[in-house]
Amino acid sequence: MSFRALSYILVGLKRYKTFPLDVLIDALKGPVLLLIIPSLWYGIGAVGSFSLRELFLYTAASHLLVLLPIYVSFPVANMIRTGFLPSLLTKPVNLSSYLFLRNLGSTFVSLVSSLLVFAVIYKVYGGVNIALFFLGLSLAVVFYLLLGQIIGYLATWFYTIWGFQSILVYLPSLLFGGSLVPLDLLPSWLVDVASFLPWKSLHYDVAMIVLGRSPNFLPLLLWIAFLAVLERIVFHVASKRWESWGG
Amino acid sequence: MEEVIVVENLKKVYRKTKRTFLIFPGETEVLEALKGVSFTVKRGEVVGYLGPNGSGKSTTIKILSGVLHPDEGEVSVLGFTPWERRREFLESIGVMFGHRTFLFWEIPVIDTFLFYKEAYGMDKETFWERVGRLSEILSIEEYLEKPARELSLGERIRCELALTLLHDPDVVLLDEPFLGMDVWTREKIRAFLKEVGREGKTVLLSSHQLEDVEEIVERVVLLDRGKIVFDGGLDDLKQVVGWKRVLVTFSSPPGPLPYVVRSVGSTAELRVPREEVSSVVRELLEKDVVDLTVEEPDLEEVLKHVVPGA
Repeated sequence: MSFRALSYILVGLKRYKTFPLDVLIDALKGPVLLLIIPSLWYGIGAVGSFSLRELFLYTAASHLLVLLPIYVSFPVANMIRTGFLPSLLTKPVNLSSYLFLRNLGSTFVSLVSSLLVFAVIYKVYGGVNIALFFLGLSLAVVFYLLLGQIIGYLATWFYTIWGFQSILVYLPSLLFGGSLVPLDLLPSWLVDVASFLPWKSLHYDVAMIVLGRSPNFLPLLLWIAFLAVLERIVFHVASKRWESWGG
Repeated sequence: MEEVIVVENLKKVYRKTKRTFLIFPGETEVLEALKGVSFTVKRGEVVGYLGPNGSGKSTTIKILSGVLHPDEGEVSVLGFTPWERRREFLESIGVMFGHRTFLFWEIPVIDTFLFYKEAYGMDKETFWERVGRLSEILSIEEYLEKPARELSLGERIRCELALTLLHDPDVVLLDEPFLGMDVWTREKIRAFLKEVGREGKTVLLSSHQLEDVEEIVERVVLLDRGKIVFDGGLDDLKQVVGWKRVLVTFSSPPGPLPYVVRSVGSTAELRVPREEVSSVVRELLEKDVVDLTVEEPDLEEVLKHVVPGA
């Protein structure tokens, strides 16, 4: 890793210097969530064909698939929206790398603690295909990084982009991606709809890899290729519209 | 001398579409921010880029720094087309927008500097030498360890200036660097910018703080509603105004005086037509004068004269 890339991560990481209590909060929130959710499902009997082992493995994998792609990659949209982008455009900084690596640094403690808990659950409950899982996870990161940038650029057309974030990221990842409840536990018509959308490939399909299901990355790769082209087009048009009104 | 900034027939139009319902577009309002601006800046020149609000100053600076694309016209900075944002170009310019921060809000200022050390590929020795020098000139040593969000506006702007100059750029573009400054800070920044000019940097400075600009620049490009209305030396600009200011103090109230604009007790301010200054001064000296000064109008008065009712 180059010093430049490291400096991007450090900028994010150094926020812990200013907000030291965040170290504790970030270290605890992931593990607490990972203990509560499967226990809750199990407690209310909403487990379908899932065993407790599978619930823990699925939840741990699913948590990483939300944390890294959505909470690390996606905030680029906010950084673009808040107007910091024009400042960065005058500096020799690779925008995509900077945005991703900086967020990686600023969520570092959450990430490490969640990875540790995932490692423990994976070991205890005998997860499989770890390398393929991380490959799927990396593809999900790329997908949300591109989507985050595209939504961020929309801020040059729209005053607020919160709606886009909810419609394109948070809600569909919960509903069609199975990041809260595995798709197997949802009505079959919803699962049918989900198979035509990208979120199933991003969350559910990747999380199921650790339970032994064979991966199919083709839909995800096609979505990424589509977003990569779209991101360049939207950036090209949006870059002509920065500060569309002003002195 | 080599021309490092070349602007030819630069045009920029802003379009703002009002929404009728949800996202459906309605009427489009059009604002011509720049209507064919042309000027050049030679290496080592320190130029004031002035004009009233909405005249197109910031738009020009944003285009020169590569943030905005123009609609028409040619722009070259150090031989580069700014909006292509080549790495060599970005490493050669220093940009500051007073109303925007380049410092990372939540981390100490020195950590932002360290981040840009890597971005600009500076070696450790050069970096610390530059930090030391800029900290001393701008008196920011005590702020380096504080996050930007804990700094006052004046402290932050000084740190922003240091960041702008950190990598020793050839061309410096400054948009409102005196924003929200007290007199002491402004004095520091003026001294600093004069030093930058002496180092042979090319500086384009846009500001509404005209008394500060007056002290720093020798040439002024004056903009009004997207067009250049004056481009020349500061002294030439002042000649455009047909009067000089005469400040005179008498030992006792002097009675009626010609061209008086203000009078308090035995002190009066006169605005005397240039061709009559000698005769009026002679006339005044025949009275009981304690002190007499003849001054050029200040830049603010000149601008009000050149761009009336802006």
